[in-house]
Amino acid sequence: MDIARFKASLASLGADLERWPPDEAQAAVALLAASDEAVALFAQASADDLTLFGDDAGDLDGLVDKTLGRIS
Amino acid sequence: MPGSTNNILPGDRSDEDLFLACAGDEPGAFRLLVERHMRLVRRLALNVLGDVHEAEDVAQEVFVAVWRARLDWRPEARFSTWLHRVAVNKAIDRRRSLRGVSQASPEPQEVIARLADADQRAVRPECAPEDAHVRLERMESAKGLRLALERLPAAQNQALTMFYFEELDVGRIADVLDCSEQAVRSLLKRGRAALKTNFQRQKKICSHGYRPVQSQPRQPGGRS
Repeated sequence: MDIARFKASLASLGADLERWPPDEAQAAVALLAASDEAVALFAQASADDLTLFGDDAGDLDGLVDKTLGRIS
Repeated sequence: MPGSTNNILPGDRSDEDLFLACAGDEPGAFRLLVERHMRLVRRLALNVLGDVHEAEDVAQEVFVAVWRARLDWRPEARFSTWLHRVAVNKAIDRRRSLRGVSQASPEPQEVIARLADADQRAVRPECAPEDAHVRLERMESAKGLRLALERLPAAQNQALTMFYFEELDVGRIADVLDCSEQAVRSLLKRGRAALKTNFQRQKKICSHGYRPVQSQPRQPGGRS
């Protein structure tokens, strides 16, 4: 998969790789491992998904506290 | 950067400034960073892994790794660019180790696990007031999303509804709409772009329309 194809798939399918055809998701993971541009596009699409379709995670204070507990 | 942060609200400080302050042991700087970025880091991991528990564990690992690197970090690139790279790398590593152990882990089980996790959150008594608030917010944003979808051309609305609300894959949507998968992808792409434009327009209207009424500064970390 090249960047152009990855960008097109993000634009149509969003950033949740579980919703992509499995072979395409696998190729996307390989590209993400190798390309900083792909990571930037992926982060932008993930942020767009959060903005457009929301997030069922709710309050993340517990997760924040747990994380900070691991470094103190 | 001594002296450079005077009179700046903590929530307005740049990521880079906060992270440099972590190296100087400034209390609270790292908490602000974690609060600011946790939602997106968690989502990045979830998008790679498809499992809430794994994603939240990876999100914690990401921030632990970032904390450990604070003394060596130099602001040559944006903090968020580096953070997203760390998050994606950790999620990919976890995905590979999980799939190596259990290649046959079926997708429906992951969906069930995600639903069970959501149910567990909903019934946890100590979280009840927050859940009610979250549910209300979710209902409001779902309502807004439904309205925005209704304003789209019918085919885009149908494709997005089937993909995001009914969770049909592109092939199934193509069958239902009697068109090619490429045509479905094109509808999804144009629909998402239109929703994004709509949302940005709304945001602009709200920020211009309501700013004079707002008398208190926004709480930091309220939205990532």
